[in-house]
Amino acid sequence: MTNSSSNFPWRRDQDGLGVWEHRGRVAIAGYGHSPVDRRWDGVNLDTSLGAYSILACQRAMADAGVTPEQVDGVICCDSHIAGGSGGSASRWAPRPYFAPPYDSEYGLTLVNGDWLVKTMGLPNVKFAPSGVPTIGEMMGMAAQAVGDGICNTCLVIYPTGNLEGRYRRGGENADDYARGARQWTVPWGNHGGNDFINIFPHNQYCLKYGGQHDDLAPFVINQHKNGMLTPWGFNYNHGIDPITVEDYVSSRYILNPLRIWDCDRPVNAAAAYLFTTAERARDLKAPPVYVLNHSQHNFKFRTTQPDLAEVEEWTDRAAARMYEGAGLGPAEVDIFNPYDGYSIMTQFFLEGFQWHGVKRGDAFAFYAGDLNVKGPHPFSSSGGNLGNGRTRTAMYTDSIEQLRGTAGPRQVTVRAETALCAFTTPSSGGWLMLGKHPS
Amino acid sequence: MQYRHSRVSGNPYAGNSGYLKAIIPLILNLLKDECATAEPNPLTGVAKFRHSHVSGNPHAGNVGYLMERKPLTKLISFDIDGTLEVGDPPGCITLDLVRAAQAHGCIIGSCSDRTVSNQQRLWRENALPMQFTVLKHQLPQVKAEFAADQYIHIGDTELDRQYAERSGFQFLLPEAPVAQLWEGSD
Repeated sequence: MTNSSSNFPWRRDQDGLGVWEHRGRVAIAGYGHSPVDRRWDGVNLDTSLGAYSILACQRAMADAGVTPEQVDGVICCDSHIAGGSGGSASRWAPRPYFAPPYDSEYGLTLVNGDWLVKTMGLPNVKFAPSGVPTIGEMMGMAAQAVGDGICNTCLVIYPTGNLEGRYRRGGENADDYARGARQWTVPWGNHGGNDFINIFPHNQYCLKYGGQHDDLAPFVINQHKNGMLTPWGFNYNHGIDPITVEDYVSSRYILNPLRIWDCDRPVNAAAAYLFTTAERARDLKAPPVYVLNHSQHNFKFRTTQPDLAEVEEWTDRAAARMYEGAGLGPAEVDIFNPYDGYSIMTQFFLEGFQWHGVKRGDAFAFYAGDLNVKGPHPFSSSGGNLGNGRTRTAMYTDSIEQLRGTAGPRQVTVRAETALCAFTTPSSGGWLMLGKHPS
Repeated sequence: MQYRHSRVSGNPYAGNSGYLKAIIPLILNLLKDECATAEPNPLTGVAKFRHSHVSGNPHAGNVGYLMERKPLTKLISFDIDGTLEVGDPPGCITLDLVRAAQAHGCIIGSCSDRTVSNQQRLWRENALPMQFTVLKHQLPQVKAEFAADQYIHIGDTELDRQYAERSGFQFLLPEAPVAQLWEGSD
């Protein structure tokens, strides 16, 4: 039953691949979210990452009108979102485990396809790969698997775990010394992977194009505002007050000039999506949202620290791959939900993909305009991670809802027939283009 | 050797090393006696001087007399999440304990990464009027605004410790017997 993802050539991570061969023939027919908690308490087995993953799958199946017997593929990211240096926020053990199915770390702080198939009792799964990457690439993997006929009705699960304690401050990050190669890459001894990497080009950006860091405030504030329009999200359900300009500019630096509100909030949650063929999706309960392309990238650093020129080149290439594979151009993208885990990288995506005509150096002026979901430029209508917690799924769910016309108070008033969404950094990750229509 | 009076202060004793030579041993003896009776608070590490055992006069030679009769003004800053019971995650310090600190005359407030408006709403909802609500990096402003003899920040993370110590606050973990800070202070 279990296949290794490495045996399946699903990636579209090269330039010039042309239009995706399965364009419009694969669809997302359902989605489901668990509650989004700040962390798992380590005790309640109804709110563990495994329990939430099952709940998200059940909701996705219910949304699509699919029974457990009909599911023949399960693609679950089995990496821990807190990362290899997860620290105390990722380690539940060593402690005595519970009764099955919680008799190992799986189901508590980790989830994979095998555990889900067994625990949920999915009798007909023939494809449940291991080594599945994060959601940015995983969604493309699912689309390709269904397009290639490896499976027909595929659950795609993205669990995002968090325990009480310090997030990503374990392992080498907890060391008092920068040993080995880290003396060159993280001589300060500690960073979360994306913060410093993007701070440097961000500062270069401000110097090159003018403006200052706090010009990000309108974007960050709007993300929070959109989050408060998202009923499943963390902020909406936990009374997180929308922030003001004053809140933003007076907030403390995490890594100057990166402020606390530029960073997303780790949470404990899971989301699931149901992929199937376009043909089958038309007979299911919910209106299908068609996959028009998926693409991935893992660009090589020239040095230990990328600069603005590299970041701009990478995002240009990612945009070119996506647009070529989807057979669309910037003017044809209605909904744009790029990644915002750190607010400082989003402008690179906005400008690289030239959404609503935004060119290099234009982002801050664009942010200063009207970003309201009811306005002419409903940028990042999902609220992203900043508005919903670090689920990395808001971008996908909002895109589906906008195309279905079910986004409620977030529903845009502009045309909503295509949507571009991602979990990605400038250097690595993936993009997904969705359509209300197959072509 | 002839010692001259200070030309600066006009004080006949200033600059007079002969006078100082005479008085310094007396002062040292007094201090020695007081230090021998001082009891450092296990919580704060601050020694509190007791009345002199030597003279029987409660005022005689008592360096800590004024401190004893006029309680120290203590300012206590509470982190919220992981520290107070209303935090996320909940901490071990109850709001009743915070109220007790206030009732004992401590200047109390909250210092958190939550927005100021969120903190203020929290205190409104819990009918607990705080004298300050600031962000984590704003402890120096609290110190500038409020005169107190002791500044204490109670929090659950290394970040709390870092900001407290950088701002000249004493740092305490929530698990510490914090009630000792104000018990017996009035």
